Amino acid sequence: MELDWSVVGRSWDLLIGGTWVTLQLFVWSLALGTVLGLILALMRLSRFRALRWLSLGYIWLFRGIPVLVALFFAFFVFGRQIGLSPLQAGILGLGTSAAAYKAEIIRAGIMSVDPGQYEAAEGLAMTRRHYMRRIIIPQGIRVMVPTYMSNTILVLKVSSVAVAIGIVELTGITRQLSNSTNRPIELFTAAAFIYLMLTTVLVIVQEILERRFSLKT
Amino acid sequence: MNSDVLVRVSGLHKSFGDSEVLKGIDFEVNRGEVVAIIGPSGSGKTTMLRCVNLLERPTAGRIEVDSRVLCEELPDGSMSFSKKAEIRAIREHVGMVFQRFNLFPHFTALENVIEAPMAVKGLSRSDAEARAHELLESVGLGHKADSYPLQLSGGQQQRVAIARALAMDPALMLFDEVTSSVDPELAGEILQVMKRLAQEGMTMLVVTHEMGFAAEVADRVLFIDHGLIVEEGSAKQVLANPKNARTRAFLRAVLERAPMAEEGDPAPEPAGSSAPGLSQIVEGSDDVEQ
Repeated sequence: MELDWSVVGRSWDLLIGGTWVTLQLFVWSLALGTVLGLILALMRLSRFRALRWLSLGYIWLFRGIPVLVALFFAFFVFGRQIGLSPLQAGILGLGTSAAAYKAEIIRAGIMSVDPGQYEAAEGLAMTRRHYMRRIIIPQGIRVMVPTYMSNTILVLKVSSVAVAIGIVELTGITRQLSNSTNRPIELFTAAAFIYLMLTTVLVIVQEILERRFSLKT
Repeated sequence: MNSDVLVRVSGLHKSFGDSEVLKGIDFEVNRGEVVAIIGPSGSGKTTMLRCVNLLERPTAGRIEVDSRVLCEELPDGSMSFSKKAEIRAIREHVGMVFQRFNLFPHFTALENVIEAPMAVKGLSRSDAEARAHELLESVGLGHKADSYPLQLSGGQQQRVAIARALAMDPALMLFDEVTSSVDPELAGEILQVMKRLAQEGMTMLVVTHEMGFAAEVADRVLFIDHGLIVEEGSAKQVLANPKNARTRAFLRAVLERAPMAEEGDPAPEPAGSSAPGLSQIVEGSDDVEQ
């Protein structure tokens, strides 16, 4: 079989357009997942049983169902009934799924902080709100970074399931192009290359974060 | 009520699950007094200290610091704790220094010292920094203000921790075996700082294994065993002339290991030809001088 790479050049603008949609999905669902995940993690560490159970229930549900199912729920329930655009519904579905994982990653990071740190902060009469923000969470981040970033890479790649609710992101546009040109190998190779470039950026971000939060010795 | 009394603890009980660690502790600390708490490991002395600022919640008893009640028993036997804001208000005046330093490792020495004064007392950064520099200078670490905790020795970290506690202008300082996790040759620099604090009139409650320090600096010594205060009195009396058999046994065990042995042993109960005399420790405690 002859490979014809010129198809990639001819499709490039469309591929970049798909990449742009992928990035929008990724960035917003990551933001939603992280903020919601932080709230869920703090709820799980709360003194109040009701908040702990609520958080546990959420994590149980969204870790337990496929992302695709969450996506369909977001699309048919929130998209159709409330009128979210497919992209908004996609962000909602991906973000709420990601939040369950982010919550556990953030919780593990917070729990890794030496109990002596809480005691020192309590002994200095700081409010819990203050020392969580200034003392505990910054130290937890150091431990979280590797797992958080691994999961973040996953969030980027999993955004490709959004094709199922009609969002034409990178994988979606590649599939359409390969159908119309009958050049799937060349086009999916190009898509794989673009995904790799994006995840490479994330690997570099991880490296920077690890340096930023490492303890000075 | 006597306003000279800064800490008043009565009927203090603390259980962890089924094990009762404190079985009814009563003591008072007067303003300006240095009280050393000694006792075998597992005797409850650290737990008792941690109850004073409510890092540990008593299961029964009453604790009062600076005429403010932290907790007390209600007539029905249940415990009543002060509101969180009230507990914080009391903690503002109670500095605590831990065995494991517990410095904030992501902050420099200076940042460790200024954080609470800024956050809790509302000091401006420049005021807090000026005071922090003074305090770091006073513990001999003026040149280490910008170092991170992991860049410092154990003795230096502990002195930063003392400066951090002092930055809140406490009326009472709690010391929990503060030399136990540093190398023996670095303990002296910490004890030196504590000794000076005592001389300046700071009220101090000191859980310690440093008998030399207790002998030299403490006004009073409490000996705790199995969750009870077994013996209490002036440092001289408890350390050199203990009445209780358990106190004697404990001191003998501690002192046999002490590296300050000399010839001549005038103590009534010689622990062995190479063991130091108790009165000798009480008299000349040069071990805390550098």
